[in-house]
Amino acid sequence: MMRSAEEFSNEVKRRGEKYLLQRRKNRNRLIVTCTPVVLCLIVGTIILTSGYKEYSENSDTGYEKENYVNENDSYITDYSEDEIINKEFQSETGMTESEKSDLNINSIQEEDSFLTGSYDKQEYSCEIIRVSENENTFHSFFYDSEQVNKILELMEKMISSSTDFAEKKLQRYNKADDYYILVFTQPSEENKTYYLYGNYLMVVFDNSETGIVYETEYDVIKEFTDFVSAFIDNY
Amino acid sequence: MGNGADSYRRYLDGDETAFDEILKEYRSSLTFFINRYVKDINAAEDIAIDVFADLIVHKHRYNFKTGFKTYLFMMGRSRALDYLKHRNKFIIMELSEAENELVYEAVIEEQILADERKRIVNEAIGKLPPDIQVAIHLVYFEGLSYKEAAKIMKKTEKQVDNLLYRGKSMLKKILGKEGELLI
Repeated sequence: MMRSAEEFSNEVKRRGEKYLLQRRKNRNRLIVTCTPVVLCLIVGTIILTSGYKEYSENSDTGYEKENYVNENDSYITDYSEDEIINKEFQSETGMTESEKSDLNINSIQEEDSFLTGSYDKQEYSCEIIRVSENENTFHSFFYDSEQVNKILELMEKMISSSTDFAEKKLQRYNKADDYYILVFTQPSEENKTYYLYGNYLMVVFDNSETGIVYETEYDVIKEFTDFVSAFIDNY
Repeated sequence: MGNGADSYRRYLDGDETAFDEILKEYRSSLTFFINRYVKDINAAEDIAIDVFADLIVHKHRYNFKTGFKTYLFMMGRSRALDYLKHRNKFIIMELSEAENELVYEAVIEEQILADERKRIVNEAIGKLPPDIQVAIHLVYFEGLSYKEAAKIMKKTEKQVDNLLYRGKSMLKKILGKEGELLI
């Protein structure tokens, strides 16, 4: 049936309004449907991006955060126990790898590790390493807390008597022929001043009678070296 | 740009009467053009209403660079083809309804083809292939350029030219020598 001009015009406007309304409804429906999805995507992207950022920050050195090695950290988890000892030894003595190998220290440390002893069971442990150019290397473990206490007591005296103990020790170490290296472990007491590397203390002292290590506190040094020498001789 | 574009711009600026001007100017020609495709005058009118409604819904779709008539006819063609794609092959209708349709078609024809010569041509081109029909319709009945016709039909100007050439040849056969003079 043919429409009149007015009918035609009204029909066009009616449909126009209808389609507009439909369009708005569809748009609203689209917003209601898509908003949660878009939000989820945004949140997901943020989480993933932050995760990636953290990962990339941690992986700058090629290590995960847990294994990240800071050169200044005393406790280095990625190093083996032997490497830790070597590293500390080098840093303490200033000796190169070749110098150390001349002293047969590597072979000593490879022989056994004090950390593999009754570390958890004993209150104290002490490893004495004797290094000599003329004699074979020697090392021993102290598990007797009384003996270790005695050593610690002497050590404390020795260290407190000299403010630059480490420096002097290094000087002597480079000159002397015969050495003992003491490595103490005392996990329960962290506030001892001579715990130079966290739970470890490495002390190098001159065992020769003629050599005077610390002029000012000679008696203490002598008492200490005598005690250790006697112990080693009787071991 | 014709008057249609000016009216539409005024409508977009808030002049509601401008839209009535558009309807008045293009209603019949658009319906007649759509009917060329759908061969159903009621459906053609329905489609034309949708095309005009589209001007209300998508107010900023027309860029005012192409002719307004071309734009309307492009939409008309697109919707007509869409209708053909989805309609039922057989339409069942009451006899009276069919009669009404014929009357309506005649009225529209009368509005568009006021010229007797055009009516004769219109009858003749009904026997031509659809593409040629549309090309002749756009160029000879609507007075569009080859370029505009090509744009509506989504063909090149050359293709439209070929269609019109073939159309003329066919019409010559149908209408005799007179046909050549008519177009």
